[in-house]
Amino acid sequence: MQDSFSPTFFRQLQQLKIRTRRAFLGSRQGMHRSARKGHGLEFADYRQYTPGDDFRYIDFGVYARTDRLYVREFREEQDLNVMVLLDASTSMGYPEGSNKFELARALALALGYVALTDGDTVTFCLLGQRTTPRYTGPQSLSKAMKELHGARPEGVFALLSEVRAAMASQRIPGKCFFVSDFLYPLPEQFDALDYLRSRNFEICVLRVLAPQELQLDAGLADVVVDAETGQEVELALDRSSREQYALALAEHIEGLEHYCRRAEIEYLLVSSAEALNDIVLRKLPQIGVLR
Amino acid sequence: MLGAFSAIELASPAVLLAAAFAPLLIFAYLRRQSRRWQTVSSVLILERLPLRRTLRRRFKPPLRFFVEFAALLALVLAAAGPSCKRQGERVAVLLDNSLSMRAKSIEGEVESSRFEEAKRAVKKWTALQSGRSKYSLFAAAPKLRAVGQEDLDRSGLLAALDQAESSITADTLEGAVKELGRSHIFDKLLVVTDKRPEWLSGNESAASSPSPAKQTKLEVLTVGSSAANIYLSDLRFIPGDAAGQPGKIGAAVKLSGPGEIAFRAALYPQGSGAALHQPAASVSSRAAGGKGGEVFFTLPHQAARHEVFKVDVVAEGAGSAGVDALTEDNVGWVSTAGARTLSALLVSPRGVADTLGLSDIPALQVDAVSAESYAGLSAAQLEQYSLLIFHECAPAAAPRRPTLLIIPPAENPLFSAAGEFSSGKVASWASAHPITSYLRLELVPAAQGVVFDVPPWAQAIINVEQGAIVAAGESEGVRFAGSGIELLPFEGARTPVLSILTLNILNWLAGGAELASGILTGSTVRLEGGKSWSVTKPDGVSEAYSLAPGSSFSYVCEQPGPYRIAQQGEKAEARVITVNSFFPAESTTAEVLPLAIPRTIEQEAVEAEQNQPLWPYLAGLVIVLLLVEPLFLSGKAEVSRS
Repeated sequence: MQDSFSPTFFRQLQQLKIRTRRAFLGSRQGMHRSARKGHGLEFADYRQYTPGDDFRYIDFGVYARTDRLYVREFREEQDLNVMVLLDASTSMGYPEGSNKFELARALALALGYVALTDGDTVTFCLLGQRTTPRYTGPQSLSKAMKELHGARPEGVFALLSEVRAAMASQRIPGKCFFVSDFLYPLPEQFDALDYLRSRNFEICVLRVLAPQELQLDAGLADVVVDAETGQEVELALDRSSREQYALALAEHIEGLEHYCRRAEIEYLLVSSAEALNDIVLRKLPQIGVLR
Repeated sequence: MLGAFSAIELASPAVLLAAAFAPLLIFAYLRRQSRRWQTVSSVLILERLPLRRTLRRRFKPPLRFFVEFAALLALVLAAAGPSCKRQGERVAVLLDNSLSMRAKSIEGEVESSRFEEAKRAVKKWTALQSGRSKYSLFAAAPKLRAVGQEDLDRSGLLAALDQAESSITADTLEGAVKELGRSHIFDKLLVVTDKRPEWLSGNESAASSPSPAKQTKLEVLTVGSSAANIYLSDLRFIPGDAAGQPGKIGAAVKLSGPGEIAFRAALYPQGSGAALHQPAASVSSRAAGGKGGEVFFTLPHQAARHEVFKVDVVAEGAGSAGVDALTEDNVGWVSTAGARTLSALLVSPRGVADTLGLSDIPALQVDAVSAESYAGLSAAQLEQYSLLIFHECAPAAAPRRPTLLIIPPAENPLFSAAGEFSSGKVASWASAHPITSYLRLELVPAAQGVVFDVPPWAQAIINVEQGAIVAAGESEGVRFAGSGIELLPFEGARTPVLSILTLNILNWLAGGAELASGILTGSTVRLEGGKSWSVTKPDGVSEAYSLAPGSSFSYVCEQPGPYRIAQQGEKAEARVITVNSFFPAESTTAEVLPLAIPRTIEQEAVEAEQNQPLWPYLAGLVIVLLLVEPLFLSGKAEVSRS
């Protein structure tokens, strides 16, 4: 994981910013346009003067035209509350050797680092395991890396309840990156995403699948066991069954994609075989998550 | 080779039930396949695929399965004891190729030998046999041996017949017939000989034949016609005496056939070089039919001590034409050395009066003493004797001379008796030992005697079921032999088997051919170890032998004539041994001798053993399959259930 984070990559990450489509209230001054009006550089609106307002914000040009006192309001720039939900369930550790969890973790850290360098507040949540404290400032990345480094994909949970638990401590809405393989039943995923939406978070779904999952491995054993549920499925693998798998997977992927489109959730499907910097530096800016 | 076989038979068909394990192997593979677990992140998508339906669809064995399956089937088949049953009759053709078969006879206007006639008879006989028959050709002289390969077709047999050669030794026909007949290999035995069959009543039962045993049918083709033959039956050197009487060479000449014939015997002295063409002396005499005449040649005083003389006999005068069917037996060689110095001391309870026939052995000088007298002999007196023979008695301690014990008491220092037997039959023997050469061991009378507890330094030579009846060995450089059966009195031709056995034992004890003035073709001469020997054969060809200390070598004299044996690097000859083809039974060509054999001989082995066993091939296949099986291990690691 640490190999991916070379000094060059760090420098490239420092050039990026997390893009949000709407303004969020922050907890402190930052680099993101906030819903709160106040001191800032970006003009927001006029408001009738009321006693007590700072004279410096009275727009005398408007007063000359309208003979009324108006004060200029500015959009305040605040930090962004970034929540990174990293699926650490057992399924992320399979297929063996696929590095699915490793890529997901690296993605989470890279996004976290981008947010931290932008002065945002970042919280990492290892679904099913633990939630880190809120980190601020780029220097917090080492703490976050240390925290996530020891994580292993293990654990079984119900997605909605786990998301609920993770979001319980989040009072301020913001940006939520959800990194998972999303190999859950679609309704369960929708419920979890709906919950995030209800918490007024702008969601970005990053779906990480292994190449063996994207295209069924010909050498797959005759009995496959679900890593989480232990459910066994006897297979009769042939060309038609592989085609049926492709159709079923496409249907599942399309289901989530369709939901995300409809719910204005940013969505990116990546293979665990892909390079981290390609995803972060090229694909995420392409879909407008980073800029 | 398997082409000669047809149907396959199983010795234990019930073992094939073990093939029921084959489905177990399939089941094991199915189970192994069905138990190939792999953990995946989720079966959410996979569970929507069609499940396995049928066994046929599920069972896709790897190549390794077929290897293991073949190995299992081969193992089961091998355990069932398959064998191929031979197609057609298996015929052994026993060809009498002894000296008498060289006898010439007139067939029509063509002169041919009996041996050639025998070959033609075999060809004619095989033409009448089934085309499926398989033949194996054997020759009976000097001992039973195969000629060419076994199981030949007719053309192969004819080719093998062309390879067969006649011998100048006696045959072992009766023993060979028994040996071939009892073997489990042949259905029929054809004997081609110049002897007429004298069919014995009843079967020759095999010693250990289980019942019911298979029978080998015998057929005899008698070839040759009666032909008169003049021959040398013996040559001996009679040393001169101290009074100045010169030495003599006596030649016994016999005529096989009716009437009387004049002959001339010529003496040719032979030094170390080639024979002279001009005889040194010649004598004319007459020989009557069935009887012999003896002629003597007086040797000149200056005859060298180790000189070899050749004697040649030729019929002459009126009626000499056609009385010499065999020419090989007209010539003989005699050495003036060797026989004079060999003396034996017979120790017998019967005392000095009786040498028990041993004095009849040419060139063996025998003194007889009683057991009591022997005890009084000094070491110097014993040194005079080359051999010590104890008959029904034994010395108190092992002598330092070559010694033969004949039916010794149970307590003796050499071959202690392990017991007595009253009815025995020769069961086995050391076939390579010189004592058993030219011996028809089946005919050794082993009716009663003692069996020996063979000491570690000795070897059991002839055994009956109860134990060894003849044992021999060398201890501290001295040879000892023991006979548990009665060998004496020595009766010569009257008891040929015992006489040959006695002579063989005495020959071996004396270290080789020194015992007689001449030995017969095919006899062996012992070369001592630790020396390098040069043997010059009668044809002048020399052979060198370097023997390690402690070893010895039995040199087989195959040609008639003088053999000169010398140590390499030394000019003086250590020994000159004359080898002759004196076989009266072979030279008797005027009458057709009987061959006493049964019409059928019971085979030793069970029928199943006649067939070609296939299990060794199958076992080999199993081994090969198991060796190659790891090569078919799947390169993909099987993922075990985590």
